[in-house]
Amino acid sequence: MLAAGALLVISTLLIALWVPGDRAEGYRQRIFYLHVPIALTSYLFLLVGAFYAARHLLRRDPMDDLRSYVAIHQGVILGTLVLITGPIWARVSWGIWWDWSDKQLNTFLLVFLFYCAYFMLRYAVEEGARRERFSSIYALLGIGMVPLSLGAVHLAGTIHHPTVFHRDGPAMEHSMFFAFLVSWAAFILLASALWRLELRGKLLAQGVQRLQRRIRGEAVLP
Amino acid sequence: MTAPRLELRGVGHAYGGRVVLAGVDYTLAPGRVLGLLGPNGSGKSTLLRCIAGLLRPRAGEVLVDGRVSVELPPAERARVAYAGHRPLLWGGLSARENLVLCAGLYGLPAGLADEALAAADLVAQAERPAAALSQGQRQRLALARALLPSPALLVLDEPHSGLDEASVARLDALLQSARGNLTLVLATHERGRAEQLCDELLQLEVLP
Amino acid sequence: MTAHAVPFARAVRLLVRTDLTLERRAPQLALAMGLFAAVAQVVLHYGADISQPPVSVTVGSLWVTLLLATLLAVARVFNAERDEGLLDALVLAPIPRTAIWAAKAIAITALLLLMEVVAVPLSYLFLPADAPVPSFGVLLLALLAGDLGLAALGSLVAAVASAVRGREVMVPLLYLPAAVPLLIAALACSVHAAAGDSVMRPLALVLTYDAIVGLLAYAVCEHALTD
Repeated sequence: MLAAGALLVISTLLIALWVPGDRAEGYRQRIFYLHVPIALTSYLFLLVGAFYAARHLLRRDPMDDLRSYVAIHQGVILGTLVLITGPIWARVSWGIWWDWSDKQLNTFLLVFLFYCAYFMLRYAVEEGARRERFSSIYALLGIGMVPLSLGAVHLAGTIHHPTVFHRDGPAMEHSMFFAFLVSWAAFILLASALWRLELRGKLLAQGVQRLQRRIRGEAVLP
Repeated sequence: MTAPRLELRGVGHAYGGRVVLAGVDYTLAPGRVLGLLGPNGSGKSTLLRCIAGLLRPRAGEVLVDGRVSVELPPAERARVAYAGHRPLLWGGLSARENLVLCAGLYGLPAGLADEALAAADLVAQAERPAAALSQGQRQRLALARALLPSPALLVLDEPHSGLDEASVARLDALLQSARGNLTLVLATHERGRAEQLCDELLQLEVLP
Repeated sequence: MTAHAVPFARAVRLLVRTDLTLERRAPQLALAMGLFAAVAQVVLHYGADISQPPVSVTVGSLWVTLLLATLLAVARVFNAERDEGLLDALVLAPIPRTAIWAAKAIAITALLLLMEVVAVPLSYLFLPADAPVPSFGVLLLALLAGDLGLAALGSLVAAVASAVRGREVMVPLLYLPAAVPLLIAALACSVHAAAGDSVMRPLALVLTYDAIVGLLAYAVCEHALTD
């Protein structure tokens, strides 16, 4: 947690003060160093969620379902940030909030909507083995959706928008790439720390619930 | 086909945090008849589903001849039959079609369906949709469906509920005739009937 | 004569035949989907009235109609199995459990094909006289390839949604986001064909979707069907 905080401060300083401004877009281009690392971290945690989901289906350990759920929770929280920073960037760069020809962001939107349904599903099933299995099934399906959405969004560009937009323009300078990497590492660290924290919180809550049941004289399973 | 031994080892289950079964241990020798007794909510149906291999208990395990019930391979699964509160029948299919489908799913010739219909005294109703049968007839058909593949382990959840006197007598006669050839577990809340039908009784209680 | 394990193909055939028999006796779902396809096209016409619609709109409205009508099937196909306990009978039977999913997927495909027999001619009928007509062959190809993916996904979603609270609400929420990539790819087939471009890329994506979703669903469906 501490390391994540420190790295976040460093990366913010780097982004704000150190990296050279973009020739075309100037200072406002610096949102790139937040938007893209957050998006990549979000994908990473959805992937982690799918990994634990698969492991849960293989081994039926309730802990794996919890790990998967919390990872997807982090992924979706970061995803919300992506969908906030994306339109801000679009607005300052091109004067529009949503650009349907922006392939990365639209892919992200499809995947994000899919994972929102994951939470709806989770809340619609009573706590227990069935909820764990259904959640895992859906989390696994979601990871198949990422390449498919990407492919589809690229195709969609050829339906509605004949021209292809290149956002990044020329390759990044070394200093820009370095700042980008530092920022990405900071977000991965932050999300991992939050993941562990939420997991601990959830386990504590479960423990408290069991203790309450014991105190009330109710039966508990080993 | 020989009747299997049934072992319950620390079986426990919970729905949404509410524990309905905890630490049930029991061993039933091959060919014996076990009656589960207990009030509503004592986990009879849950335990029966675990025994039939339809539900993986949250704690402990059910062993059929030493193998975990929910993990039986298909060929072994064919030895287990279950009839629950719901008749497990396709309402839109006729009585005969239900049994023919069942035979097909168990790799058995369709001709067995007619034998089963005769045994259950449902020949006159063979072409009626299952949904149009009376409660007693449907219950008989459900039992005929469960017995069609000649199971070695039979699990019955309240088989007497909703039956008239004649049907109850017929069911009891049927169960008596099958005695010894199969391991039978049935749930009921009538102690008298259980004592008359079963070799052993297991009393379940509603957990606090 | 003892019961023995029944191979996948035979189990699927038995279950599909049962489903189709039931649907033939009480063709509620097929009729509902056909009628829905007609109503939805009228609604879409008035909702997005464009006098000179491009191909992407005419075919797009057809695909949206099909997708929404599929929801009717997905919301229904596993309900009897769950509510009447038929799933217990199937799960206990000595068949591969994947056959239960596969049979439902095939039944959904059959329903989709039946509905398309109504919806596709209607969509041509409703087009303005001078509207660009998508190539029929390509549309058919995309429909056939698309149906497989929709059905593979639909069967899995139905198995899951039939067991949860408020399943009427959950079906579209679970199904539609997962179906969007297919919608885009299938639509692109017709649009590319109308523009004289190659349909290889979009068609390949539709087939990739079928393969990925089909394999994933095949791999996990047993967990959706058993407790």
